[in-house]
Amino acid sequence: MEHLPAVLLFVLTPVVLLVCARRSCSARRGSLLRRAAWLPLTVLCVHALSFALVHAVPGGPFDDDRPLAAETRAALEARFGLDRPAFEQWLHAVSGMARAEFGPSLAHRDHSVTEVLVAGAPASLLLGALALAWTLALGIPFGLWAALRRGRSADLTISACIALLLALPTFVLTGLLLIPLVFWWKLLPAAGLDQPSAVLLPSLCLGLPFAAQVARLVRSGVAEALQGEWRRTLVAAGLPERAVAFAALRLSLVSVVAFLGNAAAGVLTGSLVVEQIFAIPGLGAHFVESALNRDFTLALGMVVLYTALAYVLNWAADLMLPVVDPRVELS
Amino acid sequence: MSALLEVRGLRLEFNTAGRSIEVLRGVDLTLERGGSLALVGESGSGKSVTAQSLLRLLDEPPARITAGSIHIAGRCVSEGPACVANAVRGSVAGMVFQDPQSALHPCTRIGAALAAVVRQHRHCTWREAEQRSLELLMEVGLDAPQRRVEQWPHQLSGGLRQRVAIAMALAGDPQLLIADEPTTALDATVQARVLGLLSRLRAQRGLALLLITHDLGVVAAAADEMAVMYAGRIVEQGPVREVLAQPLHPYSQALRQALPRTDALPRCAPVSLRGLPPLPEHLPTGCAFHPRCSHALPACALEVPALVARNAQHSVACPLEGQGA
Repeated sequence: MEHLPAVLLFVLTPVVLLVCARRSCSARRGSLLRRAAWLPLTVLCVHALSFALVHAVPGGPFDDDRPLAAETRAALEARFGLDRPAFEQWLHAVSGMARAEFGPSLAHRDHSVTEVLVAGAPASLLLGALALAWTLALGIPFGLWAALRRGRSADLTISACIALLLALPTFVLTGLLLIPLVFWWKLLPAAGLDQPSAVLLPSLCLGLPFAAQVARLVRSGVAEALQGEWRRTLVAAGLPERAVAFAALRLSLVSVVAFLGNAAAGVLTGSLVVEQIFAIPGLGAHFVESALNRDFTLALGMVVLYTALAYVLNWAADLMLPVVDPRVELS
Repeated sequence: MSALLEVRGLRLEFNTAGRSIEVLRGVDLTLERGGSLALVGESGSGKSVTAQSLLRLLDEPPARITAGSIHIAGRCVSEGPACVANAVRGSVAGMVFQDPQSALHPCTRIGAALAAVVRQHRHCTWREAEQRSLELLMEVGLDAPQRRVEQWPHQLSGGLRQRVAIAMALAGDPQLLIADEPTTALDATVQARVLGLLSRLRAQRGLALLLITHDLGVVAAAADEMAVMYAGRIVEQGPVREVLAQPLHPYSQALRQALPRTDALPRCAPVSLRGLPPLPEHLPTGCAFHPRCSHALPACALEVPALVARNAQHSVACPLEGQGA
């Protein structure tokens, strides 16, 4: 059982950290540690489940249009360890994961999964980060504008746009932006990431639906916050409308921050379509490809990476909550 | 020199769902510099609406001033859009509200909230504004202001929050403080201390006080003049001692009789007033009080009595002028 140390590491780390957290006096630090402790356990569970699913699907990485010779196939399976029992394969994968190694990719045979992920990650992360920037930069001002002009034409226009953006699939939205901006007016490059401006349009397409969500949250949040009695205090004290609006925005940011954790995960998984359309060499393409190719190792590597990212981003959003609203206690 | 606060024939209505409901039906108020006036009445009598309309704090629409005028320190705030009141909000007249739990912005530290108001009214740096906030907190009687400015509203008790709200109302050095039921949400001991604070501020700053309350004990403790409101009109106005000792309007008499007494022998039980105040959309004709009045004459249902001066300070809107009692 050469894999036992790795498995023990994954199972015991959370337990040890949880005990430490319980002992630590500060509730805030305790919750930080507790969340950190759950990360490896969560990844392990998701990994086990995905492993079982991937292997339960009929077919294998070496099924091709032309069947391979039996001995070639046996040799390949032996080389990648696919001839061993599933449980042993899983233990092997887990022990590799502890060292951030997912083994060789079964489809891209000259590269390890880690190499494939590292090659695609920068483009995807850049795209995702910019999409989140668009989400906030467009969602917050337009939501605030709509809330302050509630029921008037500006609000109705923005609300209609929000509904439209939420309803349109990404590929339709991308087409609607791509045709005028790239083909008619030739303002932006059509594909690739060669020029710095090339990332603007894909990230916008990726971020717009989330910006619509944020605008909707801010619009209702600000409108609700303005019902608060503190508003009268500020107005009676002589503060201008601008200051009152910002105070209301401040209160609506709680729901925005809580949403951002989910949005970040959505941006990561949603990049698939946009990366395909704009021919961006990111991770999105591997998502579908690895599943279709029965590229077990790459698929699991993607699953682990995305699980960890989604977990950490949600965690970061939760940590931000008390900063935005002092009444929120971490527990 | 004109009075600090002059309200003449103020009429205000709310327009909701195509109906207009008149809630103020000709309110007259005068408050001199440094004076104190208590506005009393049951819930729904229009006292809070009057207070808020002075700084145009009601949402317009649905609220609309249909007639009359409001002058604060000589400035007319009743004409034009609500923002004309910006000229007096905070700088000439400050306002404190009933519920200190919700009166402060929950996500702003005490110090930052105060400093923002200070900076709105005087040109100074943030550092100077913070210094001024400390002075203000000290003035309203908060211990350890250095620590308080770092705290959030939810970390303070109700009484402390009301003191902070008073400090915010005073941050622009106004001459008039409008206090809308400032002690109703507080318990009795805290209530007494906040009233003591208001009296001290009046003495130290020469502040005029318009106090809205339904508590005659608060009136006796904190005000020199009082005005009794009923169904959107002032029915009696005069010095607190005189109105409480010898109320002339049957409604004021009923309020006085509803108070529990400890000085009378044999002890007489409080007498409660029959009936409910009328809804503004179903006002009785004539004097709005006549259906509940034990001295009502047939003429009371026909004509709205005007507020008539009985002597230099005391006036009443009732033809009986206390003779019925």
